[in-house]
Amino acid sequence: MTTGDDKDDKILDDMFQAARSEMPEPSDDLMARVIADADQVAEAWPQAEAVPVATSGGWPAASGIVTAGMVGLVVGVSPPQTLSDFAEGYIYGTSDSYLVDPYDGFGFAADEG
Amino acid sequence: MTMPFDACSDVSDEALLKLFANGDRVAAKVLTLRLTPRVFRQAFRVLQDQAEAEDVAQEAMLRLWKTAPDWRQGEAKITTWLYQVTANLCTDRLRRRKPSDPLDAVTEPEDGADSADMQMQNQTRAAALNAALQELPDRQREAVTLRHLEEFTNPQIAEAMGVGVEAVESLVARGKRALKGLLAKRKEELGYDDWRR
Repeated sequence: MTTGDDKDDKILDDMFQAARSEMPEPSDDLMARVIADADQVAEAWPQAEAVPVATSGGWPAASGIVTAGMVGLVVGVSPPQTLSDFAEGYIYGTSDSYLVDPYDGFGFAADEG
Repeated sequence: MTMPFDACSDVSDEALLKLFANGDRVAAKVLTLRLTPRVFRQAFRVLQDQAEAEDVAQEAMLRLWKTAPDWRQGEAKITTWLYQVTANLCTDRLRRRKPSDPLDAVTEPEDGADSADMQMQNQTRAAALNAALQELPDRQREAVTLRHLEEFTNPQIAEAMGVGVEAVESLVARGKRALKGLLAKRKEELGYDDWRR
């Protein structure tokens, strides 16, 4: 049996539902303004600071890192012929390098004690 | 690095704000879509004015963007923080307004013939509820609004209002009892005279 209080609860729940469904939506213009604000705020922030050279091993270490980076770039863009030959043989199976058994002699020695 | 737009649904608000602080603009867009409607609705309920509510929502979100680099994860939920900022901005707006009866702005039902239209009836019921909410003491109105219109959990309300969960339960219960009393005389007008479920 539904009491008067239960009925009032249901009426109130129905009105809350009506109020939730009747809320206006924010305009597209507002959403665009908020996103534009975010962009503007982010642009005003300082860029990420580089690690000071002095705390990373000084200029000798920095020059080594730069040199290694440049060598890597050169190898990547224009690899030496010997390197590409080796890589091609390894990838396409024309190289026998994988047949080399570094423990060949060691096996006999181990068997003989 | 920027994360894909559609990969953010499971990412928390706090993690997205951190991504934004690290330069991820997509994170800001996701947060905008996720949070701005809620902030706008909160402001609209208090101010009952679309343009003013949008201004408040924009200002609240701007403050969120500005605080992003200093946001300390784990200390507060962004939704709670935004709720408090928005509430303060609305209070400032109301103070600047000329004194007037808040019920003046409420849409009254036009006539009995419109009650056949479900849309109109919904609007009428929503307006009546909002008018009754305005008559509640501030703390009760805030607790009932958060619980039943914003659909916060009781612990979330407790955090937003700075009280315990038991106090929230009491405020909501008293607020709902008062609303029933205020709306009792309007049942017939609102189409609830022979209402059964």
